[in-house]
Amino acid sequence: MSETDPLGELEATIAARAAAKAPFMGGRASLAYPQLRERIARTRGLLARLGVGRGARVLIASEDDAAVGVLYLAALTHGATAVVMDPNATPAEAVVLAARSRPAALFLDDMLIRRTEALSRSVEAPLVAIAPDRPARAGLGFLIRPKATVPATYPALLGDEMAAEPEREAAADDPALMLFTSGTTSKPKAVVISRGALAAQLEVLVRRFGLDTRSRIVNHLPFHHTDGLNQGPLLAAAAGCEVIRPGAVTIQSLGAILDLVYQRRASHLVTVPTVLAMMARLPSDYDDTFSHPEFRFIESTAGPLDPALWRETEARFAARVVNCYGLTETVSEALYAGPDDASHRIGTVGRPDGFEMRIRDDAGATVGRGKTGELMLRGAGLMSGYFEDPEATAAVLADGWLATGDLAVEDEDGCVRIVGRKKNMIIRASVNIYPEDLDTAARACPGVSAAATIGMPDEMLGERVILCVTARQGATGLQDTLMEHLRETVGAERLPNEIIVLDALPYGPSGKVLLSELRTMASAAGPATAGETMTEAVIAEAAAAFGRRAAELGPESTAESTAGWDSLTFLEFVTRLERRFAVRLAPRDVMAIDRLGDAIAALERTGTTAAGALQ
Amino acid sequence: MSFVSVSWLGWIAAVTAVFWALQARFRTLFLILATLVFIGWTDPLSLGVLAALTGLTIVATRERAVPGWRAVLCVGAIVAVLAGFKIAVGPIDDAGVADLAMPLGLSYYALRCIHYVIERYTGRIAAGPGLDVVAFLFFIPTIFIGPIHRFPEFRRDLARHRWDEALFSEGVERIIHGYARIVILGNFLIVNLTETLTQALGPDRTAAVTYIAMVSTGLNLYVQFAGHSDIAIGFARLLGFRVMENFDRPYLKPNISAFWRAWHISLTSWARDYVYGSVVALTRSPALGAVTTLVAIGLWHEISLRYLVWGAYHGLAIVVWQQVQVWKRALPAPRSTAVRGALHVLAVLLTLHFVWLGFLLVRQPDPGAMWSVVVTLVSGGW
Repeated sequence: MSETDPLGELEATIAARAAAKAPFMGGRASLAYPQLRERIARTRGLLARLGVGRGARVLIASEDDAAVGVLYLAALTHGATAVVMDPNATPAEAVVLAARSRPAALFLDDMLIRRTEALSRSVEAPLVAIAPDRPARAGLGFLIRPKATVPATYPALLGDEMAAEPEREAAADDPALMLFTSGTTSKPKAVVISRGALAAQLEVLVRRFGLDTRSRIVNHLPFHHTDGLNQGPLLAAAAGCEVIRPGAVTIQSLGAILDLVYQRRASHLVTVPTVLAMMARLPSDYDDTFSHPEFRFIESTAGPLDPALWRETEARFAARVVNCYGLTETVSEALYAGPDDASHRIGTVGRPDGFEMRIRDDAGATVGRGKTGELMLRGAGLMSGYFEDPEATAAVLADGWLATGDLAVEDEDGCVRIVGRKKNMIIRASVNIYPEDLDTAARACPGVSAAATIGMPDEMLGERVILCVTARQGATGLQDTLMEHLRETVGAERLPNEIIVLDALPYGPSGKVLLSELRTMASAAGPATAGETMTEAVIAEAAAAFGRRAAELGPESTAESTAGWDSLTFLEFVTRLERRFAVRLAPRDVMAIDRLGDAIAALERTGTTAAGALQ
Repeated sequence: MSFVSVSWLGWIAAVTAVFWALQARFRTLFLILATLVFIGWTDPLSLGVLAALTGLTIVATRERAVPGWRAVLCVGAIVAVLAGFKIAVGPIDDAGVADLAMPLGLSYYALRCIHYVIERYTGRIAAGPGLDVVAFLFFIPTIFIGPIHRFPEFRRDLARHRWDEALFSEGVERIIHGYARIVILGNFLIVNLTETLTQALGPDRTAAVTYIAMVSTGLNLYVQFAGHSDIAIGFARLLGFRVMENFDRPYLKPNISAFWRAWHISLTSWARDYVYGSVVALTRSPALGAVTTLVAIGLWHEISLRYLVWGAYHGLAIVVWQQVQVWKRALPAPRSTAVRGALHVLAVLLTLHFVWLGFLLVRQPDPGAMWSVVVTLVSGGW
């Protein structure tokens, strides 16, 4: 093994855990270390056969977590560079990103290939389709022997591949990973991370999070985001532990994900502030989710964590929340508020680990504690630069220091608070959205003459994305057309929450859009929806029937959470609703009301609107 | 089959040991098999009836959205089977906890099936794997004598299932507690004490003897039934499942409505959700809902005139209590803590005696005998 390769230990750790027959990936995917080791070795064989050598790029995009995990680790131990892309990229985006990264081989979901016909025409490199091993079976299906499948897809085709040894000459400076951070179809920007930077990040994470072979990390973040990929399969393989992939989080699936944390006695939960906000709305029977002694802490990453939510989560679930700050440009995390008591300061992102930090003013001078300035970071974990984009690299990286674009203040105890953003970026549910990307895409839509995107505060999402446009003369039905256009160009992850058509955008003397004025205009233009009024009406009736204050109630209120909600007062509540909205609810609907939200839905099914309510 | 026996303890131990020895993915299947073997071993006919109801439930609810007509037909068929057996079996000698002449566990099993069908129909439960539904219906700790647990909680327990030392030890404790209640408190203390007191009173003091019989019936019924629930809940915990509680200090409640929320909770909450809920959703009449619900609970025990009377006795009491609450709003509330305390004690005693009298009455063979019990209590010798 090469002494210079900082990732050289990976192969040995995986081999040791394979010998112990330890589980590697659980949850939605299932993979043990022996299978992992075997598949990595054969995938290396496949890569070699496809002509992928040291430093060559391998583009990976799949919803199959096990396949992405194996491919990433195989590419790393093969000395290649993994380029991990969103499997739900729009066809236009996929073609542009594939062309931009010029891969030596592509491993893409079969569905993505079928959806994107232009892709196979636009790239010359070998294209391998990823498809599940065998059809999923539910219930008693396991009793039926699966039919033999033709191994034309990955990973089934590995059966015919020869295992290959890991690359032993890889160096610390070799690029290991490339992740796209912005740009979509217009000007894609990819962060290049070296093997040395990855190894430096892993060393800090393993130490700081107290990971060992008994750890079980639940991480639901997507693999095309660094926190999903590098704090998922890579971190697990480096620590020799298990990563549990529960699938994407939705309001409906969140309960099942927390049940998985409980059932598998997870030691760490890697999540984002939006999910913590969703957890706050769950009923109390989830309070024991983290009650097992093996549980260490919840890591909140990829977005600002509201101090009140932080305190509430820790108090309610009796679990420590470690708030982390990092960028793709720092591989993953750079500052940590916890798990140690000294850095666990609510409202801050704690202290740097693995990085040096300074805060500078606009003139470039370092400011003292208590003063606001731009957060600068330096360390072995920094990116090498943006892929083939020296201009963009030079704009943020100079003399080994990364300008984060975030405004920060260092407290007296050395902990850092993020107080604002210098860069133009919106963080919605921990996904970074660059307004320029949306503006450019919107302007390309026929009917749009000018566009500007802003972020508005949102309790659940952190920020809402509002796209303000002006219409060309004669353009009608612009909102629907534009939303459809954006769906095809920027993809679902970056779609705005709302499109507002204005007569004109507010411009300053230099011709730039005045964002603060635009925010005021957007607030004035966004009318309250009928749904909000209906919710208020239902809550008012519930408050009167159950003898509570309206402020105590919400769509999630249930008989368990609402004192005064019993079968008799419930009947009064239903009668009040029927009187107020002049409807008669069907018995099926009345019986299905468990939460106030069910009553709202039942009323909406009758075609009732709040405006039609009898006051 | 008695559940207060060494052989049932043996089953509990064997099922628990094999369950945890197996790999996690085989455990659900094993529980179903254990239940099937147990029923097949004790009463093969019961196995056929329960399997038929299971098939009916699963077939009726197999589509994503269950049509109303099919839900009604299915629930109707289940009720018909249950009622048919209840009528065929006829009156039981004692208001015991296990109706052994019936197919094993049918009274509880049928209610679980109806719960599942209605919840699927209203859309509160999404269609799930058939294996989970069968595991729920054939859950060995609760299949024979309740509690009538619910599918969503059971499915969540399956999703959260893990070895939990604390839960296991709670299970052991609960089973010991249950057996102690039944054997020491019920079969030994209450029975012997009643006998001693009755003999000491002599045959002339008819009212006092009847009163002792009423207290003894009330107390013993509670310790027996709560004890059996303890064993079932404890057994479930040994297997890593949390099953709902069935009693919440019912004899300390200050009114009849509160009593019915604390007595045989799994049955009363079932009846509140599916009988009261349906009647009220259709008629908007809480009074009719209360009477229908309690009559249904009565007839669930046994289809007979005495249980009809017993159900109506409780249903009407709830209607009266609800009306009293309306009148009470017009009266000033007592300010003194002592007065409030005394009124509370009186209310508890009144509720308790009302309930105990009901239990004594329902043990009489017909309304005539019921009436003579009341007459004895009022005019007999003390």
